[in-house]
Amino acid sequence: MEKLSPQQIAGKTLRRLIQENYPSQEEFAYDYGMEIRTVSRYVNNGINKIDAIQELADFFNISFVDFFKEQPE
Amino acid sequence: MNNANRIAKYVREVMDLYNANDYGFFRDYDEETNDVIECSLFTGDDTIDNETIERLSVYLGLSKDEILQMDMGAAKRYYKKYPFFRLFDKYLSVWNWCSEFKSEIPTTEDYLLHAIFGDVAKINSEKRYDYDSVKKRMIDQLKQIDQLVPGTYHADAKITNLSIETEVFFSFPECGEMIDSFLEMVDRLKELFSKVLTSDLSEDEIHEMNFLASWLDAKDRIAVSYTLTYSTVRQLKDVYLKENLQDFFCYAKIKNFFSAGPWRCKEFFEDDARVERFVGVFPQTKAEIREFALAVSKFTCVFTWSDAKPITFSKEEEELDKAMWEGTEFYVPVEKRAKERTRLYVNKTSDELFDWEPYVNRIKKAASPEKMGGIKLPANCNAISQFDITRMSNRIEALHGGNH
Repeated sequence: MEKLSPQQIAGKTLRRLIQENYPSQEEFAYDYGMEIRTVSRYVNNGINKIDAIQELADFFNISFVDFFKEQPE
Repeated sequence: MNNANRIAKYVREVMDLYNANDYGFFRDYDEETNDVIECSLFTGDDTIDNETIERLSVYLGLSKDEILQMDMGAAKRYYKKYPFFRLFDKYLSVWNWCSEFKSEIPTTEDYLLHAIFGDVAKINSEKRYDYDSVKKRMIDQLKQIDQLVPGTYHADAKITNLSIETEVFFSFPECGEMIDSFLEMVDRLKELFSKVLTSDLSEDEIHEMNFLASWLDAKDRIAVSYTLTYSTVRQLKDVYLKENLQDFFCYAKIKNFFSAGPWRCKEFFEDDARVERFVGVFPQTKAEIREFALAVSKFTCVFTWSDAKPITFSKEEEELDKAMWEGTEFYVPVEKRAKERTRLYVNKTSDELFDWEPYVNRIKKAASPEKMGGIKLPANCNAISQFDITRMSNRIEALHGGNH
């Protein structure tokens, strides 16, 4: 299996956190105040902005490092 | 001074009393220059015209006679009924002070010094943080993140144009009373709105509804250029009844005039129910509260690496940009664009947080997902759907009777 980049792992972490806390990505986008297409881009392509990951980690109350931990599928 | 000028002076005083937007009365849009320009209340040769008096009557929630008689007692009735207006003035003054001087609350001595010496006094604007220490921690953090995300730290480059910003809390003990009074106005508008749908209003109620709709800038959620004054709601009554939506905010949208966000007040979060009601009126403020929580608990560092690349967009956006603008003066090739800026948040130490930690925790919890104890947002009424297109057609029909 192809190794994921840190940005892609961050995107997968976001997808998991959204699934754990919201019924849909739209609900998360509305609650967080983010464009749905940005959410979609982050989740599918990864998050390439460090400050965006810091903001999301703060929001979900997890550490920045935890955003880069791969979870078993 | 002629009568028109006296009335204009009276109207100006009333608008100042309520911090009301004077656009459309004392300011207008200049189509030639695209600027907003000052204008006189009455057009032409400064004679009183009925059209302006009627618009003022609706906007200020006063009868035409009260305006013509320049009745200040009548004009103050909403000011007396809703403490919000008195408190909002004080609030803005404290907010402005704290924005300028970054202190929590101005003392009488501060005010006096400022009045005497003006900005030269630089009261309370002493350096509150050790920015060299913040910069050092920022660099350490970049190096640490580089272990996780290679390329974050540019070992051979310099940090240029560094700015370090943060936010402060301030104290406004009457914040709760002010917000409660604001919410009371919203509730009163909701009450009058519902009443128009099922019965009719008295003269006083019509004036109050007009005042509240104008001051709160309450618009129809679909036909967004229509303020929900008494006459508009009467015209749209059948449409609203047919839609039979339970939530007022699925019909209406209130402008968030709270650009001076009350979440900067320590006292705002003293009552969770109040915060939830406020966010219920302005759902987008939950995101603003989240951003503030971040800004107050951390330093926001923004800089440019000396070897930074020019700003680029996604592949699709670049293609679209090229297709639309290449060959015109509006197209900026990649090599001519500004360099990417880097933003990084650096945590504050407990010393740098002063005594704010309990407030930071409270505000962060409020801004978190509902499942984690955060504020529950009302249903999202913004989604565009076929239903909204139908809703729009029904409104146009009701407002213009098919003559559109």
